[in-house]
Amino acid sequence: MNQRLASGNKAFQIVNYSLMFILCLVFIYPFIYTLAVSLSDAKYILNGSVFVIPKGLNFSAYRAVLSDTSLIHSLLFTIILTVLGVAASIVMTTLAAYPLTRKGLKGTGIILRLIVFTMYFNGGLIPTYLLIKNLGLIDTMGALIFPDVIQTFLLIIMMSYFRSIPVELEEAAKVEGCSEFGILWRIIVPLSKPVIATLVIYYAVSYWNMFQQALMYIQSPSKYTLQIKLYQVLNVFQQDLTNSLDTESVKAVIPENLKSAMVLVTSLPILVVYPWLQKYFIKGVTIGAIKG
Amino acid sequence: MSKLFRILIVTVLALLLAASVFAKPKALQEITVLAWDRGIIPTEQGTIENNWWTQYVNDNMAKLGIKVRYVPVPRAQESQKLPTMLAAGDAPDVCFSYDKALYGLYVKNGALLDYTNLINRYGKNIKKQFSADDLALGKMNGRIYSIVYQSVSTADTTWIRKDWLDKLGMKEPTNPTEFYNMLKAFKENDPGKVGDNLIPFAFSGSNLYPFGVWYGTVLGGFLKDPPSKNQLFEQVYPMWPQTKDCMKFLNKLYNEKLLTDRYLLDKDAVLFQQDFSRGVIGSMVHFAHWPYHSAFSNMYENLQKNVPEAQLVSTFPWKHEQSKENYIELIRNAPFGYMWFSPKTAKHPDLVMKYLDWLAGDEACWTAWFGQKGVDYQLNDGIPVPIDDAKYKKRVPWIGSQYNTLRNPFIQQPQQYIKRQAMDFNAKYRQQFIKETVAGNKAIKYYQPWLTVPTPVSDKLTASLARSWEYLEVKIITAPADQFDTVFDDAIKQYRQAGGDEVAKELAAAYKTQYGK
Repeated sequence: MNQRLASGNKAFQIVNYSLMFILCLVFIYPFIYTLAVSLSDAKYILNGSVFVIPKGLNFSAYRAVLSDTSLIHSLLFTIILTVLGVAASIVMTTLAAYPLTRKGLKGTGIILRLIVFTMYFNGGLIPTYLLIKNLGLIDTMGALIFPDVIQTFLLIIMMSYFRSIPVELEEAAKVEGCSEFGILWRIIVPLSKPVIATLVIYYAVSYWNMFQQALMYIQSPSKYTLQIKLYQVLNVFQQDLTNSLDTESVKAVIPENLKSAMVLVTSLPILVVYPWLQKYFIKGVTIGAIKG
Repeated sequence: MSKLFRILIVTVLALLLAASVFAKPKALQEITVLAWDRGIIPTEQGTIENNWWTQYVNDNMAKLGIKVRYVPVPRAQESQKLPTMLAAGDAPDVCFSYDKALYGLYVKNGALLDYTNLINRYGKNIKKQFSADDLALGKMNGRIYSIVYQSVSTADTTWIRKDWLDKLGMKEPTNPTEFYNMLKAFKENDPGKVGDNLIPFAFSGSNLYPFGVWYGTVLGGFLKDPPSKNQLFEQVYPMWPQTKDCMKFLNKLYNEKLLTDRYLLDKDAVLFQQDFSRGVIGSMVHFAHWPYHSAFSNMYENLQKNVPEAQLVSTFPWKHEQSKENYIELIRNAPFGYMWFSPKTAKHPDLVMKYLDWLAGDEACWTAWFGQKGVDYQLNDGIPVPIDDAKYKKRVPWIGSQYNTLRNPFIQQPQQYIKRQAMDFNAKYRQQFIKETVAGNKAIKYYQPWLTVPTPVSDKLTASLARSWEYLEVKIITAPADQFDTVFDDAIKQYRQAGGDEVAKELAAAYKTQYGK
């Protein structure tokens, strides 16, 4: 009996591991393929003979990508946007979440409902554009940060974490003569590192991938985010597959290896953030799971 | 004396001051102009907002008291962003778009600038370059709201491996039956010795949609008489009576494994390009410059690298045996491009028209297309030829495709146009391209007329109708031969119910309104 259970268990483990291994391959393969293409010679890519190992190894694509000043410019702009945006978002989310979880704030229920309302309804594209325009934010970094500085879902995650911190800690601090702000800064924030780290990742990824807002509110190419730049390069002539030879058919060609190199260059910086915050992240994802 | 002297000095100074104030040159007035940002300007040439072309424009405009500021919009998102900007009253003074529904909406709501009187007052070049018929394309209710760019269209081409034909001792086919016999001979004899990979006939998956160009090319082979005006007007070619014969032919090719379904999901044409350059495709339909153009990876050259004896020939075999005329290209390639228009919010309508009129003039038009004479190009037999290829590639190709032009300088001389385009290709293919390409409105005459009467029903349904056809068409072509009739009739019924009938009815009425026939 025991033997059978153990062997069943073993079989499960084998199936489980092999499934997980295949799943990992499925996820990692596109990445490896892109890497291989970015390092290969255009000739072999066109032949379709590049799969895992680069053929005709060369770094010309990376040289070309890194010498493209507009891309480097977008990279810098996006890094600054991400850093400033994440800082602003974390501060604002914390400042909103804390009072909403404490007793004594009048109208908490109404405020919360109003906030949740924005998860389901919004003003629509054009009214929002008009609002941004009338605030004088068009073509500024502010247009990319302020409208979504607090994401409702992340606010709720933070609130549920704050609720789990015992009130007694606060009361003790108060007895010791700590101010309201002091409690938040010295007690709550240090205890909330996991949730803050989680939110940093969520916010960082969303700022890094900023596309729709950048498309609508940014005009000058010097303020293009990486995603806009990337989309522009990858799609530059896909839509021009017309049979007209006119101005519409673009004469510049973007070879496949250049595209791949660009994809990697634009995704690497944000990938680097993950391992650094990972220990918090895994802890953080389960935060909302049991406490509602 | 000294007092007088002092007064004199003060007077002189005051006069100088006054002079300096009044003599200040009149400030330039700004207009804004849309630019499609494709991100293709080489870094050393500047940015889309500031480069030699924008400076050239502004040097010329300063003489008219105008400062032009370009508003870049990423090309890939133009269709999302322009409507938002227009709706928010934030659009540039000069816009261009392919989007007729957007244009129609703004004309209907009276939100576009009426060009009629402005053209009469300031449009000297425009009137010279655009005939009354040309300008009528931009008319709605008798007023001109847009200027329509017209191009020289080139016919979709059926390419055949000439070396395979030669090996089999066959001539180029001239009608569908001969084409079918050729495919059969390809399959049975395998003249290229490619074995199981042989693909006698292919449509690329990326060209619009799988089998997407059948109506431009193959359909012509089943028309005994020229298409009636009504047929062209109604746009719903799946409902043409001849479509059934055409589909039956393709279905037969498919069932006899002469036509491949290999590229149904090959949306980015990677597989197609690979097969083509390996030399396993015997014949295929594509647009005229596809094998030659570097934008499509110089496919002819690649093919000959892999298969040195490979030769392509462009053919137009889609002629009904009893038809007097080879229709070459049906419906697909209308010579109309984007519309230039201005929102009513433009602050200086007169300056907008002065700018457009300058752009229509020969000098600006040629500069936008070919760069500066003597710097970038010189004339050789009336055709602009780059002086220095490398420099030309850096300075010129990004102008027309981002700032757009008001007209094609060779609209009346398609052959010149083809010769000019051939310059972009590898020298050894130029003559073939010039000789074999069919271009211009005289050769390609059965296209859909331009329509500016509002057509709300088809604006709404056209996209979804096209999508459902995409699916139905594949179903028809790949149906088992004995079920063809049922599948076809059923599909057409679905198409009609999905809006085909409504669209046909509305378009017929709209054309009648616009052209009075």
